[in-house]
Amino acid sequence: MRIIACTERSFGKLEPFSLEMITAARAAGATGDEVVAFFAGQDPEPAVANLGAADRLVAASAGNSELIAAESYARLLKDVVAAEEPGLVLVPYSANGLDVAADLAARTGWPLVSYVNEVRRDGDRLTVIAQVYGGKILAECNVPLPAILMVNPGAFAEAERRTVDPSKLQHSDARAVVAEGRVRLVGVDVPNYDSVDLTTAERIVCVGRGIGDEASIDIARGLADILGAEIAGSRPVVDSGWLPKVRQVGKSGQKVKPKLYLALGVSGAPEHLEGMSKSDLIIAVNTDPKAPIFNVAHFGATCDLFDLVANLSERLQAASDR
Amino acid sequence: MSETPVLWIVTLAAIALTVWRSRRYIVALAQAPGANRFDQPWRRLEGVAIAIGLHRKLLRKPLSGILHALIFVSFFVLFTVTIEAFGSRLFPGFSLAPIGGDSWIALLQDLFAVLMLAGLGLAVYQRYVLKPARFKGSSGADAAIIYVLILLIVSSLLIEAGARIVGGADGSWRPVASLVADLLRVLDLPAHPAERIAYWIHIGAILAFLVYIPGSKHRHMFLAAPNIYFRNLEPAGTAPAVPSERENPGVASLVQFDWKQQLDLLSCTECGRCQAVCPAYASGLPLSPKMLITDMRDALANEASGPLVGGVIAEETLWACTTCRACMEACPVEIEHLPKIIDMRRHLVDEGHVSPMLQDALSNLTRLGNSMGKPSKMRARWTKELGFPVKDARSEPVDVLWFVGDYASYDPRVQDVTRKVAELLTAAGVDFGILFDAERNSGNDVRRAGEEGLFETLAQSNIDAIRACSFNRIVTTDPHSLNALKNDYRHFGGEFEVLHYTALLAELVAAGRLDIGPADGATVTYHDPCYLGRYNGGFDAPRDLIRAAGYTLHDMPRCRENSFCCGAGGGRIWQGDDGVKERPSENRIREALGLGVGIFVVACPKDKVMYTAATDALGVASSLRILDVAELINLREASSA
Amino acid sequence: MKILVVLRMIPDSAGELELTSDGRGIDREWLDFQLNDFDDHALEEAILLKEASGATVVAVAIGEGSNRVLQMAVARGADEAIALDAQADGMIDSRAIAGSIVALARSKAADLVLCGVQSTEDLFGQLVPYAGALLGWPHVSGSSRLGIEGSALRVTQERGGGIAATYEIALPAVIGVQTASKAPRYVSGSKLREASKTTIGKARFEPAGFERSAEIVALRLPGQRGTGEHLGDNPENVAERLAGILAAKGFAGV
Repeated sequence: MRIIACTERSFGKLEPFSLEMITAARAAGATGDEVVAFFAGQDPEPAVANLGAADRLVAASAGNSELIAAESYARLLKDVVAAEEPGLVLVPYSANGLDVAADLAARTGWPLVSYVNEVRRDGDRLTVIAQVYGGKILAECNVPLPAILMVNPGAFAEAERRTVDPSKLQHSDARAVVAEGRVRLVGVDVPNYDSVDLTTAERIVCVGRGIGDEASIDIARGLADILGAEIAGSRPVVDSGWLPKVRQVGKSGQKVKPKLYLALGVSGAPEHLEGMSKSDLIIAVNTDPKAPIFNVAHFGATCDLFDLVANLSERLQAASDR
Repeated sequence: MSETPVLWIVTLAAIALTVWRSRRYIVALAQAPGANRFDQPWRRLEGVAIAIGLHRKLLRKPLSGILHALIFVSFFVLFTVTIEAFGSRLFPGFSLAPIGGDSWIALLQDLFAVLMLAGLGLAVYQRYVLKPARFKGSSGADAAIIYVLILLIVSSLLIEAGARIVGGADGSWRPVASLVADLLRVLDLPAHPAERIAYWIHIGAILAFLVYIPGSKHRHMFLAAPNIYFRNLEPAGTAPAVPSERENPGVASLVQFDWKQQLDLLSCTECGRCQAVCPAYASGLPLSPKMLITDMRDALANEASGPLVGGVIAEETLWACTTCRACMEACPVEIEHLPKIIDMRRHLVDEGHVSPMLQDALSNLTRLGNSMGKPSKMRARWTKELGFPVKDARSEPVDVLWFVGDYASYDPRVQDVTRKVAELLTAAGVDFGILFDAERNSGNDVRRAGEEGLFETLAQSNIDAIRACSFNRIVTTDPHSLNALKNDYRHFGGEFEVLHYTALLAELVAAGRLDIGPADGATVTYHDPCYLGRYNGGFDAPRDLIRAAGYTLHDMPRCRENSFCCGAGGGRIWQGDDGVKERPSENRIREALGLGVGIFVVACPKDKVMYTAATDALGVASSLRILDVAELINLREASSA
Repeated sequence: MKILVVLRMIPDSAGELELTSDGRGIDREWLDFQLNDFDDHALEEAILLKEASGATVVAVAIGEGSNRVLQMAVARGADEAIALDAQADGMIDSRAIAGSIVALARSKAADLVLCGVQSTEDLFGQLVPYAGALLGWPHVSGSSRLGIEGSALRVTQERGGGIAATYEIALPAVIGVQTASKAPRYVSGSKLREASKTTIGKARFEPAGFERSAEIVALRLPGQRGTGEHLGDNPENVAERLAGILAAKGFAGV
């Protein structure tokens, strides 16, 4: 069987989940199966330099723009699927993947399972474990082949990075497809990291919906100042406009890996955990003892946020004053 | 020129000026929407007599009350001087002498001139030496001007009388003026010019005062009595209904307030008693009930004051109120702060201007009938851990229909209390049942948060559920539910006999139906919940129960009508602590800590939650336990079994 | 312009999920259903577009409590409300309902279909790409801002790393909303009561026509993976412990 592993790049770098797709493909495959990495984007160089773990790389490059619309990506993928006749296509759960996976499913009629964490091959079918209800429940699914899976980033380890052998590279020009697209890219907004770059911060205090209101963020900021930490927020907090977008942690924000991650009132949706679960020390405070953030926290407390922050700030301040 | 035409001209000019200065207020009141405040004249007059004649509320602050009484009574006595002063010159030949103007009236005038000065001295002492915090934000100039005018009026009348005695008049009925006369003789002032100058100072001061009044808090001399007369005679717990002629539920500008609400603004004396008792003000939130009124009053006089809601009165000010009603209880002139706040909140809610947390709570209430966002089907889950089934009042008749309420049903900190109440009722053989998932939040605080439409939906749903049951009386755990069911539901045709569980338990104890194993007399204190005490007069039943349970009650300084709110009411529990410097609940716990008692007794599920959190936050949970009245009651059978 | 906005009723995220005895579904007895949060944002975006450029908004709801949510949509400004009669006693499978949404988009002559980018029940794929592909319309998922410029739609899409891409799309199109340009508005009880008189239309289920699909064999609750230490719920104790931990790990003091 042939398995296509979809990969992506973002701003000159290969997205790390691209390598995870290759591992996932190997997990789903049997001996003798062929794993074909598919890449579509501005310039395939980072894919060529890293995706050697796949048996082949099929790359389509579109030239001038930093990212290509999911519409074009899906169209290019569909052509590759038609040509390669795979038994399985793996799409990462990413902003791009959200538009690509079900589009392909609709056009091929193949089954699709989203938010996949585990894959096992059972003869001519797959058994997959996928998250449903925001990770509160796991679903074991029986998937007839050919099929499409949308795989959670972080669920599989990265495959080894090595260069693709030139003989295994099939490269095509995608400019004509992109030019025909009805979704026309008119601009890309890259956050201004001059003021803050959470990805390099060693200490982060992150506030979630449990913080309640905008003014309370100042209280958390006070604690962050004492700790010498950057203040960050989860998606609801940033959506409310209480913190700027550059301070968002999670799937649609920054993926961070600080030495200290203090989560205040963050419940820990899968999309948030994806962005911070690799931090060295995670301390979580949330009044809901069932909040998923506690699954990744090294220390957890279920007390009142405000009393804790006030008390802790006082203690730390007193300690640093001494 | 003769003095008569001069006085006529000056007096008429002063009156004209006074009317001109009052014109905006007169027009505003004349154009305001109607209010039905003309019923029950005798009851209204009785209230005026008690409030003014007996100075009932004023005397709650003894120094202020006494000084006000001195000035107030002296004013009436000295008014005879004013009558004489104006009458004798405007209508030559007029004199009070035939009815005693030179004898007993003169004596009274003399004595009360001194009392007036004594009252004035106390007022000056209070304002400039004691400086009570409640005056913060009141007009200092207003007070200073009146002190000077009173001093001028009283001293000029004494000097005028003294000068007359120097000029040969009989001083035997005027002991004080005679002393002044001696002084004038020492100073060797010519008697007649002194008398005339003093007379004109007197007249001038009185007319200046008259002209000054419309722009000052001294309007209350004329408006306090009518404002008290036209006070609200509805039960305290009934929130004002939305008038049917109003297009939107809320009030967005001053002109939409009815004439009584506007009269309130003009009647304010800036005494600050409301500010002194306000939990929102004490906690550092941007609400002073006094300044709420005076800001609106000032806007009434100023056409260019901008929008009312979100302008003259900030949104944060409106949301700060806990609707505890302490301000209205304290107000000596019966100003109605809450109806104004609720009406302006109604406007904010209708416009969708609610904070994210409040929006969450209201959305949960819309969706699920409770503010916590819990499934309605889980409302009666607390019954599962009881050793006996609870009757479903929807399917079988009961004597007592128990309206449990949100916190008592859902909050794990309160569920134990709820189960204890169920056990006590069962032990006393009360035939009771609940509504299970047909119960909704009573809407008491929804209504007071300004969400009238949602309140109607909740009320209608509860009324329908209650009407479908067969029962004799309703008992509630939550004082807030008690208030809504007893007072608010009448606006929607729901008239029920409703009592608080403390009243029912006290009744059962009195009837000997609960066999209590009394405690050892340990001293406890008790917090009066706003909606049980101040709103519905339920002061004694909880206290009777505490004593019956074998405890000694030591009340806090602020108790009964003067109880201090926990900070949760009126929708505050659904909002953040944003801007709060000291939580009202922690303020209250500090008050209790001063008594040295070990138990803080509550009779409201929200209080259990608020004060448990407060003792935790203050780190005193081990030394001051928060217990519900029901938890104090120890049954003999239960303890032996 | 006509906008079709899709509103899916999903189990309340605050509720505790329990499994049915056969382990294939969730126990719906104790659950309340609420509007999918992303769909709420889609509705808000639809109303904002209506306010900005005079569109007609048709709301279609699926699942338990549809009527109530449709009344809310009307109170917020939707012009027409339709309840889609889907198999209401299980998960709302976006793959399965895509056919009905496509049929409605066609019969209502919609220029734009808006719905939430995801729902907690779209295990078998998301509605936006399904509907877009079946209609043959372009689709973009994850919008955080939407506007009309001339006859084109301008969409800002959230991508990872805080990057936002802006596209121009000629209508018709299908957009998956992540965040509305403004937070969903509060609609007061009095407006809801007014809207409760609205007539709610009905739409029949139309199959999407997919032959094969994956199926759920079993559901289970994830085990608590966390091995972290619980510090309790007393703020003072927690603060004391945390201050100690932070100091021990060298985080106290800048």
